[in-house]
Amino acid sequence: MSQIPVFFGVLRYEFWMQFRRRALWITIICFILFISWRGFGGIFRELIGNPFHFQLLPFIADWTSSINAIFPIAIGVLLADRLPRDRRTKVDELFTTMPGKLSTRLVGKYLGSTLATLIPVFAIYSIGIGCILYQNHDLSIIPMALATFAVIALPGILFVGAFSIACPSLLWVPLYQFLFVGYWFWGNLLSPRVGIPTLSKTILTPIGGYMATGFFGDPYGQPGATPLQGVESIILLLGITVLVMVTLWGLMKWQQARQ
Amino acid sequence: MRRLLLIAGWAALVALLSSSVLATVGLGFTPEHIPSLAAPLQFITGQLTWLAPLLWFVALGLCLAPLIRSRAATAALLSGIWIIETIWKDYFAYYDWLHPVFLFPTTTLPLVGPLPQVYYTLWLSNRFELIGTALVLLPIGWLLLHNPEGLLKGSSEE
Repeated sequence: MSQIPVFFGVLRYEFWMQFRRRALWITIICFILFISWRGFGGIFRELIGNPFHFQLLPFIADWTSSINAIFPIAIGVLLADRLPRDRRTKVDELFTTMPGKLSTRLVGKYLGSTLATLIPVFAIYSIGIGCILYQNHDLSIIPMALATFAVIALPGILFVGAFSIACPSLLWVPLYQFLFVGYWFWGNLLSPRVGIPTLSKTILTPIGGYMATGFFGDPYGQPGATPLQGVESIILLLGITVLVMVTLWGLMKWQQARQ
Repeated sequence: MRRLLLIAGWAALVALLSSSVLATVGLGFTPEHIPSLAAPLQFITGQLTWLAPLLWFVALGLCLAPLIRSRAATAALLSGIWIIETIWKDYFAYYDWLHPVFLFPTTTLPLVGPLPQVYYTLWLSNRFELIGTALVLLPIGWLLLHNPEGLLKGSSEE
């Protein structure tokens, strides 16, 4: 049987299942409220009020980085229960009797649920871009915004998504969520100057500072980063994403063989 | 409620033991009052460093979980608050109206060691405000738990 219809079937089903989940929207709306009252009345007023003080591309990259610093926490936590849910609702054994391959189902589940979780994040990102567009009346902002999102945010979100789908197959979901949030702070936001050894400020940070500065000149990303380091960071993040998914597939195959 | 007490009690025990060990070896990370308070009183006041945010998070989690009816969403929201409070600590310190919800001034500013009276009073009032908020939220959460229909619906909506 061709796996392509199976893949799109799983992807569609997982997408809508996550997209219609009330918890997803409540979480993202609360996150928007958290970040909206930051500073002098909110980030959006900042986007509308100050664009002329900034060069456009670094400014858009900085907005993308701001989104990518906070929202992956929600994405990671909300994706963590997708795989254990199959076990809890006792449909995992049913799936093994179907003609779709395990690898197809896993990729469909991963991409479908990650894409659905990404939609509200992209919506809030687009509102910010709309504020910049409203102030500047320059349509070239739209392709710039798509490019910064694809290059700065997407590799990190795919990286986080892969770990959040895979790790709860071994760890208890609340434990993974706790460890993931701790990792996000330790491995992305904690300054190495604090003295605690950290992955922060290395090319293995899904927060995307190397891409923001290396490609788009964002002064707040990773000062001194080059485009080559940006490419290295993307390759490393996506390579590990593939590795994690292949490992998950191998683990589940092994678990099935033992049953 | 019993599960809540067990989890909160366990977390408090771990925090108390570790802060006792740190204080014993002279690595305590708490503010000190000038003129110096009696050592036991100083130690007890120092425990507000972890006790106030612990109670605040427990109470807020207790209210959010039955309201949102999703463990994942509640975890994401509490995590978001923790990270945002840590990243934007300067905003929380700068604006007076944010002081009652400033969870980690001790470690993020930091407010440790001997402090001038004015800072110590600010720190202490912040701790009491957090505990006060938690004490208001706890009965609300307890009332929300007495809604079996909501809890049953919630378990199917995860």
